Amino acid sequence: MNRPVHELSVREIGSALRDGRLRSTDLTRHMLGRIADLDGRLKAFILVTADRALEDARRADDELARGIDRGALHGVPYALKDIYDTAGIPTTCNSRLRWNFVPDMDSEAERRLRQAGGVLLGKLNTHEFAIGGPGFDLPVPPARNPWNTACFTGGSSSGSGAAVAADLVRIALGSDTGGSTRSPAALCGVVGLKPTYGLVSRRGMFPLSYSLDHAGLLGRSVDDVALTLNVVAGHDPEDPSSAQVTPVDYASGLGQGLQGLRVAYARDLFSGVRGLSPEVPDAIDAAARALVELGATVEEVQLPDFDLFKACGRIIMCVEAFAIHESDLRTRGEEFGRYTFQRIAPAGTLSGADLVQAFRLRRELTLAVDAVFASHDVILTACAIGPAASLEDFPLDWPPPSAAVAVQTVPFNVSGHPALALPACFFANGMPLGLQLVGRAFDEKTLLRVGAAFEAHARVGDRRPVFVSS
Amino acid sequence: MRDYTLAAGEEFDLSMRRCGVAVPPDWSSGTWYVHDELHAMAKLLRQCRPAETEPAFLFDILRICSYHPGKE
Repeated sequence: MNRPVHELSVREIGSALRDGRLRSTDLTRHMLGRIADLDGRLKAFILVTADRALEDARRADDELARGIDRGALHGVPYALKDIYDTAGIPTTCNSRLRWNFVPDMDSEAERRLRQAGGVLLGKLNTHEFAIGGPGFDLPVPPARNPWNTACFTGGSSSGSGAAVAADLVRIALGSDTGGSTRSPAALCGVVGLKPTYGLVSRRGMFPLSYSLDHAGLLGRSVDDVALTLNVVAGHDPEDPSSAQVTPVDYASGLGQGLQGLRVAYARDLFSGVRGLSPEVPDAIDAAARALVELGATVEEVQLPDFDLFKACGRIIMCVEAFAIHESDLRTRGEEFGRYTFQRIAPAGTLSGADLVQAFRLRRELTLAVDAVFASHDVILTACAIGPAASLEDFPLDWPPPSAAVAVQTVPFNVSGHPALALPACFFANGMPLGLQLVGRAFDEKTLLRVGAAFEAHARVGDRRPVFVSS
Repeated sequence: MRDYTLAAGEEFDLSMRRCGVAVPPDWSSGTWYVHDELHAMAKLLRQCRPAETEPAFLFDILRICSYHPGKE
């Protein structure tokens, strides 16, 4: 192997494990060493589960030696945002309110990853309860962007984005309620998938907003994400939001090209946004031209006004979050992080009618997004509206400047359609610039196929961050 | 533009007290900002007057989409 093992793809790791060039225990020790060397600066991990990782790795090696092969993730390291329950391992949500919580059961996603032979490296940093922001008053300080450690990672799956970008782990799970997987993917220059609502079980994932929460998958490449989706997708009868769909092989057909596919370009969704960097429309326009070169047809479409999606999503998210945290907000509000409190507590002043109105609008917005797919296969739009902001731009009290946190992601939490963030190019200041693709409900296969074709064309995912601190 | 008048401040305080949440004094600024932002969004939703008479929960919406495998 000419490259360091932390740069190997999931398929390359699998191949090396199976032909004896690599053992999972050696790979795991290497990754644990890399985390020990680098994570003091990145703060991507809340907890490193070294003993558990080595135990998983030894089992994976032993099974392969005995001819037991659990599939693509067998012996492959992964990590989980610290809102996924892990039996016997603390699950803190980066909150003082949950700091000593040790679940006795695995989340369903963790159960599936373990069953598939994966190696758990640890629990990843998050904004408190997957909301809040990069608060310095939380138990673990904000994760830092590997492309510039003075900068924000995006969030709330902040550690997931940072860890994958820095090659501390190849694949990670996050969550996505308004963009919490796609934002760190875009700002850290990795691939982030929010699958269709209901495709991946959320059982054992600490909720932020029941009707907007999705699991999220982050990886170095579209293929890595597709192979991970193959493991975690599928019906869970114990999750009331789980869809009764038969998963397919999401990684097959990624190299098929785009001939005959129809792309809807939702340029209006981001082109008028306040704080938009002029580099973003230039980059997404270039991506649209690239998709045409790859054989697709691209046509501009109009979606409903972004402010409607934003208002609808925010009202639902904040009211549902208030319902979850109501008792703690009333009795020990000062134990929350400042941002978390400020973002959730005011939702208690909204009325039941406000929530019903949001759900009424949600039907219209969802049907409007869905109507696009009557004549198109995917939607192309922007993800973040500018490069990662400096952590110093975040004031003591909410809000930060809108350009620091604005992402065009919430429409597809409101509508539930699958959405993929992937690197498009780089801003002039060297920070990653991501685009967003959206697919039909439960058609992740086509979505990932388009993502893989663009990825192979753009080849920006091959570039690695050099840790700098400006 | 935020309304920083005493009356607006009293309205915010009263509104938070009604929902049973005591705002730590030095956290008031950001809480007040989000309070006003959420109420502006709620006002926008009321102005929209969605034509659909029934609210819809997401899973129900996806199930009525023609692409849902169960619909074929």
